[in-house]
Amino acid sequence: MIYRTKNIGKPKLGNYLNFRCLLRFSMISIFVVLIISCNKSDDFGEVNTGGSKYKAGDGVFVVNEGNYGQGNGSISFFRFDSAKIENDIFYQANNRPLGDVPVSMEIIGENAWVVVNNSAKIEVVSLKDFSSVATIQGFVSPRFILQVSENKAYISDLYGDEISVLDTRTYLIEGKINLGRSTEQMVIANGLVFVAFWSNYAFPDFENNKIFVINPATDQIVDSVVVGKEPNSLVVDKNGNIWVLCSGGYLNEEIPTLNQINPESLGVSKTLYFSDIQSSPTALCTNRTSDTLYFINNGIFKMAIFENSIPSQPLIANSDYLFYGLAVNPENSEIYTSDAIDYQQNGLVLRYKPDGTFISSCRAGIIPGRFVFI
Amino acid sequence: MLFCFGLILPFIGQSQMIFDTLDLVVVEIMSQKIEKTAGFTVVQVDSSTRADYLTQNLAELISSTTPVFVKSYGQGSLATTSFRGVSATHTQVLWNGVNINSPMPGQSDFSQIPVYFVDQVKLYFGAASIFQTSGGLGGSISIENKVPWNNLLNIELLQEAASFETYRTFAGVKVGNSRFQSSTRVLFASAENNFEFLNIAVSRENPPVQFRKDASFLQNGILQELALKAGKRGILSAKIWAQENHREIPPNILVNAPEGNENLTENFMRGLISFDYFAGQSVISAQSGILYNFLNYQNKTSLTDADNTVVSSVNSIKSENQISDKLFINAGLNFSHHQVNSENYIENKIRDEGSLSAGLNYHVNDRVFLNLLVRQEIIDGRLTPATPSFGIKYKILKAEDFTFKFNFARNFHAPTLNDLYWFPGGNANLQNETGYSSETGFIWKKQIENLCFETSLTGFYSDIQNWIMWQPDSVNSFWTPLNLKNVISTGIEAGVKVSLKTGKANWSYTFGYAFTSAENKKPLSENDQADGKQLIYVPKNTVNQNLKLSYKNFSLGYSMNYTGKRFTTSDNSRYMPAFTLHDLRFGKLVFIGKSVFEVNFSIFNLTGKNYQVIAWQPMPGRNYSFSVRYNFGK
Repeated sequence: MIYRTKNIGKPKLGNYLNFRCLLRFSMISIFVVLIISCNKSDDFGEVNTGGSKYKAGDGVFVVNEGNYGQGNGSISFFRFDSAKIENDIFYQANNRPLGDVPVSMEIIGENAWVVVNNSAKIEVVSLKDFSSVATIQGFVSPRFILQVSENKAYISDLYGDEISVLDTRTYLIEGKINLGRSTEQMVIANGLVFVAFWSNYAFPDFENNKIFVINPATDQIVDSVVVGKEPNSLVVDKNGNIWVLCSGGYLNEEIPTLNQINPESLGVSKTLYFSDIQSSPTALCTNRTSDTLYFINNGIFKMAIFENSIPSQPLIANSDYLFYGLAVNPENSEIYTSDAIDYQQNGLVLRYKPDGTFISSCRAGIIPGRFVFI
Repeated sequence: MLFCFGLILPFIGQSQMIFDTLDLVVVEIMSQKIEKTAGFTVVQVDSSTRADYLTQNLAELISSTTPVFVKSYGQGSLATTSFRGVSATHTQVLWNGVNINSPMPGQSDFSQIPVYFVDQVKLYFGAASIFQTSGGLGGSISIENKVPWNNLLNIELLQEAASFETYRTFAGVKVGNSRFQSSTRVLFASAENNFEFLNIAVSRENPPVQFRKDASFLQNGILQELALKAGKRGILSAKIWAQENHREIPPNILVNAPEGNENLTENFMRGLISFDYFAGQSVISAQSGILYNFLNYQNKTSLTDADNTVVSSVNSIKSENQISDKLFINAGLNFSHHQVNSENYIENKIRDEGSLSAGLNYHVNDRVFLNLLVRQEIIDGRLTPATPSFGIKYKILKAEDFTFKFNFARNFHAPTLNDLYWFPGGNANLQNETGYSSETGFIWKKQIENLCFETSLTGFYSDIQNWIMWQPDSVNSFWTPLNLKNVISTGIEAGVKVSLKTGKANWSYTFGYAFTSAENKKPLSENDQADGKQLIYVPKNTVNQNLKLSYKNFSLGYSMNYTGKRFTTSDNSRYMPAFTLHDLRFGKLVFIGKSVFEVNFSIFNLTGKNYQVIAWQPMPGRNYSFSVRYNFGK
């Protein structure tokens, strides 16, 4: 096959511009080379040219889901010092698209592990420059990854009925834990893994209101805890308690609840009810000290872990935006959230001070869904 | 003039003799030529183009020879059209006057319309679609079957073998006399469709060559027509079109789906009975039909296996009367009832549609033609906006065939049943999409001995309010449609046709260019960067060119199609690059007595362009088709 073809539609001006760009690029390159050469001749010691581009405390990764089936998901990196966002960093580093619908990412060791849901894979990339280290396949519809011990991670699955057990050194799937149903977010507390059964789309025979408890040493299910319908997000607080946010079902079947699970007794120790059955709270997260909970329920809400009711007023009202993702900077408790606008354009990443005052916004990729602080 | 009609590209502003489908006895009662669509853009695909695409489907014919953009997921896969920058649901498709768009998605899949089953294709651009039905905010496509009353016996066999294990077998038998005709056509098509492509998802610099997997399809169909002259004044006809379509839905190339993950079966049966009665200068036509459509979608990953059945009853009666040499009036009444049984809806749903239309064509004098039509519909008991349309054609120069046209219309499109009832997400409170559209243009035709020349230039404008768009609901639970957008679509269509006869050689050349600006004019918020931007998957520029030479019994055809870049995000931050395709055809006819043998060889995508129409859905490189046709007729 011949793939060298003349593009008839290309105007001559385009060639001219390309030439101009090339010229500019060459000049910049020469300039950069000059600077590096200058540095080398300086007496200020060794120049570190092999440093990591993404170091602890530098910024936050944004996972942009993109549209299902359209392969336009991406990863962005918001750098704290410059307050600038770098988009499409996977593509930039690897010269290929990340995949279809990246949904979550974790940092394990020196690498970032990006779970690409509809591509049914995990892309492992180096934090040095985001270049690809490994691509792991063998899932049905992977959603989240959680490191459960030094060399072991669990991967939850939306349409598969098993959790995959991965060796993080070899990138090989070492086993599967069969739950017979779908799995979503996971946390580890008291040496046990708590896994949410969020969607029963593919498993309609089961009520999707459970948290499964797995012993990561044996990969055995040890128990399960009934919570509200559709547990969509989990966090662990400073006392080791697990908090589970349940939306009440996408058809608003139940009043949404926030549940506290005691990791010792494996029972629900507290259930807080939302006031409106029509509401659909999501994106539970916490701060570094794990004493404050944040979530989205139209507006962004904040509450201390000892409170006994859901706050009635949001910290940040949704008057200007439609909030989608949420996270809190562990360093300074600044709030990061997103607005996907029409879900077909580059979405906004929004920053707020801990007290809810707006700081700034910038454009990430399509449907910015999750934030991962480094 | 007839010579001009034989050109490759459809011509614009075609004048049509009324009742041209009917037999000579009937036609002679209509002495005057009345231009029923004067002032509007109606393009008829001529028989020579149809013959070139005989083994293919309507998607391929339209995308190669007209400015209409065909959004295709690949050979045998879903293909929908975008007329003048608007969406797939804004193209109405009519088979012998009956709307065959599925009421569920509100669109037709052109990969399921074999050209072999169609005798005549007409494209009604913009406001012209109101002649046929409402809802064609972009336009409509009419496919028709014609009765050859002078046929005694015609037998046809056509076999195609093409790249990627594509085999198509067609057979037709037409038998009858001047009072009765029967036509039977069958189709058997299958393709492995495992073409090679360069996978730029793996690496843009060094893309590996891979084979497309899970893209096979199978299509079997039959079209039976019967027509009978009942007495001296009536024609009774019946048609049945049944077809089964199975296909694998290949994932985009970023997805590692298990083998054979997604499958679609769509079977349909369309039956139609019509009666035309001619009395004096009038004709009354009554038609009644049943449309049955079954669709099954399977997805192994998400454990989906959903059946959808739609049964529609369609009925119409219309009358056309020539009042004088200058005035022609028509009126019509339609009633349709759709019943949907879908696993994607909570319960069975029905839709009732009724419409009443009245129109007139008036020749003010030799140079001015007027056209008026009003249509009023009622859908599920609710009156929809009336859709009036007005057109004028003016012959600017007395001596030259140089005409001006202008038209204006109001139109609307009702939400589809999926928009209303899909579970979850369907929104029963949706409003109709409503629009105004207008166009103006010039056509100049000239014939100098054996040279025939025609050129046209049209500018269009349309403003659509309450444009329906799906997006997540306010709490991100599921996607739901809302009347969110206002879209203004403007553009230019230019065409040139030249044909020349020199000795035994016939030359013809056509050129078409369309510029389409379809902009979103209603931001969702002040942060919405889609404001004022081009709609996704609407190319601003398209060009097509066709050159055909026939000499004695040889023919040589070349066609070129340029599709400009298509944005894939509403803020126009990402796009698919433009592509140009070149096709070549060679044909040879051999006459032996009353038999005709025809051999055709085609090369598609001659330069082997690696391209995608839709993001991450690869298309085949250079590919070939070889076909042999045998026809016996007397």
